[in-house]
Amino acid sequence: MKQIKIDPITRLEGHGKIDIFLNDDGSVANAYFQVPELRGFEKFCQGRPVEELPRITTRLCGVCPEAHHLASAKACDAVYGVDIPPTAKKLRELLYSVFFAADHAVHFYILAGPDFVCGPSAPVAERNILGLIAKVGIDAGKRVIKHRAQAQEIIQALGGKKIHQVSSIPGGVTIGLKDEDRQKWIGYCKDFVEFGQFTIKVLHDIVIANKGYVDLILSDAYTHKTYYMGMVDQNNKVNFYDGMIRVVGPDGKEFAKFEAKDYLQHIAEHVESYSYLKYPYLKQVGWKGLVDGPQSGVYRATPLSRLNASEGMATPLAQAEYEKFYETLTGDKTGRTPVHQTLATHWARVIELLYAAEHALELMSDPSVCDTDIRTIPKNIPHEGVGVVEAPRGTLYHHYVTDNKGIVTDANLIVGTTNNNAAISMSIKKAAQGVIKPGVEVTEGILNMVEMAFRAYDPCFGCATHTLAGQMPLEINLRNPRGEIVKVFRRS
Amino acid sequence: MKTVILGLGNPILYDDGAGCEAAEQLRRWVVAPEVEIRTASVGGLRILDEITGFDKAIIIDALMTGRTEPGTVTKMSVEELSGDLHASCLHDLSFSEALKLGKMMGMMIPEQITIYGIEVADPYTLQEGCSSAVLDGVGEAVKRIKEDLVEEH
Repeated sequence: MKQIKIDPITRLEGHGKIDIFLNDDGSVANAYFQVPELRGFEKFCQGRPVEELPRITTRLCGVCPEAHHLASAKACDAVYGVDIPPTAKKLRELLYSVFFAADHAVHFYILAGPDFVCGPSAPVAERNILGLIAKVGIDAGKRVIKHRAQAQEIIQALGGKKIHQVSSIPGGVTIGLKDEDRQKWIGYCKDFVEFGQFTIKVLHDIVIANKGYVDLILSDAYTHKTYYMGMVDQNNKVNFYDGMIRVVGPDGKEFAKFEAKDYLQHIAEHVESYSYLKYPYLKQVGWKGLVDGPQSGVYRATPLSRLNASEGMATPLAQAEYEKFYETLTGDKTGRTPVHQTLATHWARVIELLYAAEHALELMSDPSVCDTDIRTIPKNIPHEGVGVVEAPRGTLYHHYVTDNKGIVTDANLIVGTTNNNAAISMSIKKAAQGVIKPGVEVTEGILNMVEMAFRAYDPCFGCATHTLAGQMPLEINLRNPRGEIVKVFRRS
Repeated sequence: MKTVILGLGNPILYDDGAGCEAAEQLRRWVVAPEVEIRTASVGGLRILDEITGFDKAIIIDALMTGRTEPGTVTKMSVEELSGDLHASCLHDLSFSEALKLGKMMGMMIPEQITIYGIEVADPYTLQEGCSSAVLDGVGEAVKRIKEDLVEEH
């Protein structure tokens, strides 16, 4: 096939772009995707007091400010070499669990659900949350809205602000929890658990009970055997806020387990001339291109990866569902055999939703979460620190270096979606090859099946900003072997 | 009439902060108790949270069509709002879908929603402030919103 130079996305387009290159017979030769990337974060941070970063970095993402706030605060704790009091840790984790449950619910009902409930090739006008509610009933919609509202009430109180949180600072938190609020919110957390169970039921009734969907999930077009990364607690159970980073190979065996501060010994970033976004890979395996398998350093950090990289969930209902998940998809309920099917990420996400809800209830039910010792005053000379949390879309690394007065001299981030850049590219290409066939007209429905591979990662590329239009406009170009565009699809 | 003026955008993403800057300028001028000024760096459903409970919403946001000069101010209705606004994340509803969802769920959505878009040049560089052409647009949007408010009250 003729080599075709792909120009990087122009700023004016400002949206995601997928280019699919067809062979002369109409089969797929290659596929690429490109997104705009933010510039100048490092420079922006230089010269600022490091304690400002937990407040500033919440602005990096209009979707998961909570994740940046906490990764940044943890990096600040590390910069000052301070251990935060147990209550402060519980309060941060409580806020984070509530956020996680709400965020995963939004993805399942709004983004992923419509493909399955309404059907992958249903007309675009119906394939959305409104179409979903029309099918599953208005009660489901009301539960989603109520769940969000309750979660936001807790996040606003514990985070100090509803959107851009301010409560986590080096050494702990500034806002404690009153027992009267705790009593009220125990009820909310019980609702969250019930909502998690309800969501699992929706998933089973609509997706798992439908053989066509299970076949789709298990199909080779949506499968890649890669390494998997996720944070685990001391028992190797999934944890979103704290623990070691564990990596397992495509065979499910532990490949690496490391502390946040050592991440650069394990992760390196490959650069391609056609993309602003870097491609992180496992240093000890090496970059072999956009390919899967044990010889390729490509790893994934997603809800599915977290389940694969762990040995289970730390709460009972989520653990039971974890076992059902692995038993159904691999026949081994221990989870030691990884699930490689990208679309199973949706199921993994719902298991995480249930875990987050259960964990929030555990923390809220613990009266010691109202203790008043919530900050340790940092006394060490600041220098360098790494903070890591699991963001909903993948492991989030914040790394700061300061002078001895705490003024930032260097900063580096690896955000959730960036971890998955290589895997997303591979998934798009493979799905395109699986669903676009010679001699068959490429319709919007077929391209949606390509997009489904992409959407399973819940990608958030700008990691930046709002937008009134809301959805990231996505353009798909079909090109002939000479690189000429033969068809353009736009979703906005 | 309870009105919310909502400046959208990211104040640390250079021109992207145009909507927030306009809202902050209006904050110094608007004293009417029935008018509330807010800013937010969010999309879709989270925008809905900011305008629910008001009779009227005036939303100011950065706009990137590439068809007009930076700083050009465009007033539009929700119906006129297309996917033209700049990129964000896949993980959300479009604003018009969020509005439909809110109405379906019986939330109190403003009857009147007006959008002021300010054409921007660079909403991708992490930097505070806006370029001078965009700041002129901010001034223009502020002037027009003031006129609207004066006419109404």
